[in-house]
Amino acid sequence: MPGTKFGYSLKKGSGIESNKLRYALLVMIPIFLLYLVLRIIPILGTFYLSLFDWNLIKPRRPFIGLKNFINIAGDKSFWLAFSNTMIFTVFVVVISVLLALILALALKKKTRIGGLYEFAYFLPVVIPMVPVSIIWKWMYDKTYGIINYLLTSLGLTAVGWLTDPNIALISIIIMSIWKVLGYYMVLFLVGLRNIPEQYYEAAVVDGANSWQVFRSITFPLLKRMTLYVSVIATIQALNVFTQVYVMTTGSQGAPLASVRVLVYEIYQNGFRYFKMGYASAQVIVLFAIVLTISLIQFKLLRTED
Amino acid sequence: MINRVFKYKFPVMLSHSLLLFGVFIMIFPFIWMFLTSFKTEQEILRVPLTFLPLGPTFENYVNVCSTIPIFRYFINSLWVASVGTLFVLITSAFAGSVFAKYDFPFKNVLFVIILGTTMIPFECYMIPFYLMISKAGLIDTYTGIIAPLIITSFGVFLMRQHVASIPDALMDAARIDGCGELRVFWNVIIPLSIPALSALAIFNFMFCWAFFVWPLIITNSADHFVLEVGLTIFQNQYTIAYGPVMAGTAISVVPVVLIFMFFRRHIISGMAMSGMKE
Amino acid sequence: MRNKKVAMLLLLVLVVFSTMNVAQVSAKSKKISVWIGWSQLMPVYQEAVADYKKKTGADVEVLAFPLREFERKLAVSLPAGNAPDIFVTSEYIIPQYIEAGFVSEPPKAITKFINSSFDPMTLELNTFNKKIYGVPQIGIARILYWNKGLFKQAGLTDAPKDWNELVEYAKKLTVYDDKGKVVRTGISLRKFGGGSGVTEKFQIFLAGAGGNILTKTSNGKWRAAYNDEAGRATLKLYIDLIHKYKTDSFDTKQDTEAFALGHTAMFIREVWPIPYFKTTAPNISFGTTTIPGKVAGKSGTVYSTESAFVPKSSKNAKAAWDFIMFFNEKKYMRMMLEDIGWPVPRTNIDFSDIYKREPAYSAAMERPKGYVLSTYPPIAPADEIWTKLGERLEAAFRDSSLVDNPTGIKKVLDDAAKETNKILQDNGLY
Repeated sequence: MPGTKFGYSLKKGSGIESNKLRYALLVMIPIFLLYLVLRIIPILGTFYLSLFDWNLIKPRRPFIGLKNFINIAGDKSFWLAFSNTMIFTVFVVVISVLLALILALALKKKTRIGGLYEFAYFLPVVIPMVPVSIIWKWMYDKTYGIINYLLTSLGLTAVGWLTDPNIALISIIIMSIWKVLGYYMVLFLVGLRNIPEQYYEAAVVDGANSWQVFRSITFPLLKRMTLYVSVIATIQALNVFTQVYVMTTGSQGAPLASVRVLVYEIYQNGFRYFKMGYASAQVIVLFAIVLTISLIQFKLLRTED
Repeated sequence: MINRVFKYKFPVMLSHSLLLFGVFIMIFPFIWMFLTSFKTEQEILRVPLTFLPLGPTFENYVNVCSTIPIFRYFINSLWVASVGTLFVLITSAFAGSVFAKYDFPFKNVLFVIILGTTMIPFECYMIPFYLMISKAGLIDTYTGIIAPLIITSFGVFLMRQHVASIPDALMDAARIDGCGELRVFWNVIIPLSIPALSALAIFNFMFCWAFFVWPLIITNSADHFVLEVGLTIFQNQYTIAYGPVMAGTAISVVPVVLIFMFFRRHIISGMAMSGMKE
Repeated sequence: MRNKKVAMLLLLVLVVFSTMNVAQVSAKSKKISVWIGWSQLMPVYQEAVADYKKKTGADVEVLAFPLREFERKLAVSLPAGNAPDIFVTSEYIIPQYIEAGFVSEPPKAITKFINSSFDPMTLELNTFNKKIYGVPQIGIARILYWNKGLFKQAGLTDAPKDWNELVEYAKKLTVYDDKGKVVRTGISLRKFGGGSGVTEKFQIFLAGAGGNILTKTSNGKWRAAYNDEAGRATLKLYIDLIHKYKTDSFDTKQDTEAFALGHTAMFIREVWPIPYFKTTAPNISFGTTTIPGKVAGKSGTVYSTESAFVPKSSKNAKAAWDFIMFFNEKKYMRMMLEDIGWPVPRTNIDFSDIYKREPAYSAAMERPKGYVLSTYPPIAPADEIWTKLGERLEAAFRDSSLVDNPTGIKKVLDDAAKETNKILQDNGLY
């Protein structure tokens, strides 16, 4: 078509189209610049560092190419962190997203008491992660935490929530689900409230039961929000750090090996051992993992955008 | 007759009781934190544990307020979180709506880049970021503290998903009426996005409020401390002073709860908007 | 509508500007900044700061952060030139900063003061390339705590003097419920939590057996030394106490908190629990003593120091050193010991009345004949070695198959030594 460039119409005559393009560029260019300065450049800085052997403090910084990555391949600690993180992610994402959806559906209608429910389910999200981890660490205490206190008073045996290496990861999974559930619930509520009431009214008139309503009306229209929630839930789960850090410090802490996660591994290598180049390489591997999984999710939950 | 009651009331009662059980689990740790903040240190470590404080004491709150200039820290946190959230709302709304409804060169590439930057936690590129801020002379300034908080891909992504569902016809109608794109944004997109923007405002405010690693690294004077950094003084290498930590947290949670309650109304008000006919 | 747009734009500009202005307003006033990694020390610093202001009119700002966060902040800020005027850190953290040229030497008068005010061990720990850079503030020897009340109940009158007694006493002091589960441990060993801390406590017993984690070779390099006879005996001690005689448990409360609740009769720690128990467990009657060695009369413990340094980048160096000297006066050093429970290794301050009032402190200052002070080596990968060894030890401590299993014990330590030596090799220190 004559007068077009990149398929976008720049002809003076088509006023609205060129307005739109101009507006889009006017908005996106500053935004892109912000991203460039605040995200892209520092991240590229990290990518760059991964090619070096840098101690953070020493001015000496020898170039070692891909040696850091080769070392990662043989680092047992890293792969243990990888498997722990994957297990953590699968459980937390699947359970919390499903539960959040169910909750949002249940609370969609009840408006007055629903408000109180929403508030209660959102409360865990509101408390910062560090105090939350301290509270849970304490509640999980084997002999004197309140959870075992309740279990034993019901005649069940006490569980070593954080001290038993086999259970420690599960305990952190439970606590993490507790923390994010309200967040995803609110997002689903926003998505649900976007669905016009008329659709539901029409369905009732047609005699559909609740499962059919969900399947043919709610779920398809909720797909966009579901994609969003799954993607951010996955990203956040793969990047888990603070709760593991708090729960493993100190003499009452959980055994590290059973709950070691990728970002903790990066933190330890970067800030405890000062192997910044190596830690940066690990960041890249983590990024590759997260990117791959997210792209898969996009493909699976594709919407007709 | 009985069958109908059974079929109708039972599932409702069941769902209510499950929800209530869930509520209990959700808020219990919060209540525990609250009750603990009113106990003495000795009572907190006592075995067997007490549920309600034996003789409720305000000593933890007094301790927190007298050990650290909590009002100043509070204001700092409020400032950082408010400015950060304001910027996030603006940048997310603009970027998200443009991604959803406009075309431009390299659009998909840019979206993947923006989404990609969110896949790495800030801590992982904090060092290069710090060096950049240091060279810019912004160490220990509010601008430096807020810098990483003014954009978030979560926000852009959320607005994109949300705005995509706004009917094109509405926007075209506005254009035919003579609105420029900016006015279309202001008159059409924003009003229909209030629920999503409110959710974003809450989440972002909360995130900024709890953000403490970066402020800790970058602030070098006590009067620039945000609340979460100020409260770390009660966690030391060997023990945690549970009482003051719980009291400090209780204080720090209040504004976020208030913000949530304020914005929640706007999320609900979205219901009225959803009845719009095509 | 256009007005609204303009108004919003103005608001935006206003916001951005005020952000920056507020920053400028709270600009750098001429004050001395101090960073420490121990918030417990704040009361002493605050008193010194107030007195210093009265005396000289100068402002001092002390910032305390949790230790790991403090170390992280220091690592990021110092190389970037954003360091404080004074920072206090340990002798195993400072070497890499000195090597990188970020730390300044004290003025001659202060160096003289340092050389005449501390014991040889403390001075040696703080000497790098024959120079001293910081003023030692604290020197902590780990000690053994024992619960006098529980000992009396078990018919024991004094703390154990060697490993044999340690094991026997632990056996007598452990209490089981009717199902055979440990309800009160005879001793609470550091079995997990915080990687390097586990290694450190292991190192204490190791010193008592005449061993060490690393040893320095004749050409100034280092090698893993804990997989020798002494190391195997130490691991065996742990396994025996935990699994063979069941005098310690993973299921009970641990360490300091356990002792405060009367849930253990013995444990090993720094000196800070002494004032801690005063507030949290005033009813526990306890004693402290030097660590029992494998053989009576030959023992040791871990000793580490924290010193005050001034970075080269400081613009207030003169004032900074002046404040350090002020802070090191008798009044504040005594407060450190008496109020906070942090011993100060000064040879020219009299603490004897404090020891009379609180005899528990003296165990930390006792250096009986044959008592070895084991330390962290001043090498960069120390933390990595200690932490990775700690993780291996954590796993070993859980392994009940190591009971009466000298081959198993040998393998655990040999495997760990391989990893340690590799780390040393990677750092050119092997």
